[in-house]
Amino acid sequence: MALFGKKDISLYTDEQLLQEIGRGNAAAFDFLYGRYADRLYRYLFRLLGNDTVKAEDFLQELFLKILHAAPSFDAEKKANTWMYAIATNMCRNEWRNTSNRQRLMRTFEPWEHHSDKNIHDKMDHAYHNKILGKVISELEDEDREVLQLRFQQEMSIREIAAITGLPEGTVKSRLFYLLKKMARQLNTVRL
Amino acid sequence: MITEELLGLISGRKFAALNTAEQDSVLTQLSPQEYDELHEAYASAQVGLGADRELRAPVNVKRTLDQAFQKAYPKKVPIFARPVVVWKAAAIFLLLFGTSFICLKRSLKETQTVALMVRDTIFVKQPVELIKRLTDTVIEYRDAAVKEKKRSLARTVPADFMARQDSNRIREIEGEGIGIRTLQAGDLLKELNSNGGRTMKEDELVQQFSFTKI
Repeated sequence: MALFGKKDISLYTDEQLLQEIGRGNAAAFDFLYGRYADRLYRYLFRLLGNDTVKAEDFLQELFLKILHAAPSFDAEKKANTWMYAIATNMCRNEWRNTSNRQRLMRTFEPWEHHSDKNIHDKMDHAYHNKILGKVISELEDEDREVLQLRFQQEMSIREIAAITGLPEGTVKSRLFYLLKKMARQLNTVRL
Repeated sequence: MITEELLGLISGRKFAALNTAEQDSVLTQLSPQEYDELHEAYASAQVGLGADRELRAPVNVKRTLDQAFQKAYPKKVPIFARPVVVWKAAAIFLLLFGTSFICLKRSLKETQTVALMVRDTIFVKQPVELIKRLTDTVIEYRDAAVKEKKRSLARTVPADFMARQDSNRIREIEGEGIGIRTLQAGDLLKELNSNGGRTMKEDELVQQFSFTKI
């Protein structure tokens, strides 16, 4: 920390930002929101069956929870897994309460507004999305969480275990199972 | 069982692109064909879900959250940054100045008191209380001596008299009003017989001196 001034807030860790929010630092809240809002929105959007309105409401509620829980945040915990765990639990509660859960869960519409044309062309996207849609439509809730946390949020096995509350071994076996399932689907499409 | 390292390899390169050590590591768990299939599946999932990167959180969410933040943590303006009316500033200055003046005065007084206390202590060191105690003891001693003398006189005079049989001395003692007299054996018998018909047990003299035989 600088001797006669405040440390640049962009250098703060997530945990430090949460502590600062707990002390009423609005800049820290802005910065944490900037770091995580889009990522969490994507995560919620997929878990809530591509419902943008619901994802928006959930994102707002999630950050309100973070805001109010920040003063009592345990600095020993990892901030990102803590926030994702809150988001996951909110979605789980929603699934329990929603009567048309199955319908929501079996829908997967790939987000088509991407501009990433350097890796794959449009044909490739259509091909991959077809396979992905088929696999995801057959997934259970917990597998869907694991899939998203790994491939959408690019999290490690340890982080996924901390968020979902599953043992690391279970996360590994689920990932392996998911990849094998997708590989099988790819073979089927090829044939 | 898949490991984090293996997952890293699968996500990155095809089997042919791995170095020898990596290939050896993979071959302990998967065949090259299985590895490549998993690699392709991984890429599909990444492409499908990676497209979500374009999704952005709505702006109105932040606006609502900012309002909630203001409610949860109202802004605290530092005291020196608040606008102050002149008379308030003057009042605060006077209050602070007055308080500090009083404190200074008090501290000076406290120093003087300490000096007086030292003098008192020196004065107290003189053994005034010791003299008083000695006087008291003397008075008590005298009282006790007078009483003791009277008691010893009452006890010792008859024995002394019987030993010497000095009539003059007896008279002197009688003259002092003590009321002790000596009887010869014959007189004593007469005296005793004057109470004729009475039992010895009721006799006052016998009771007093515990004589059972004469």
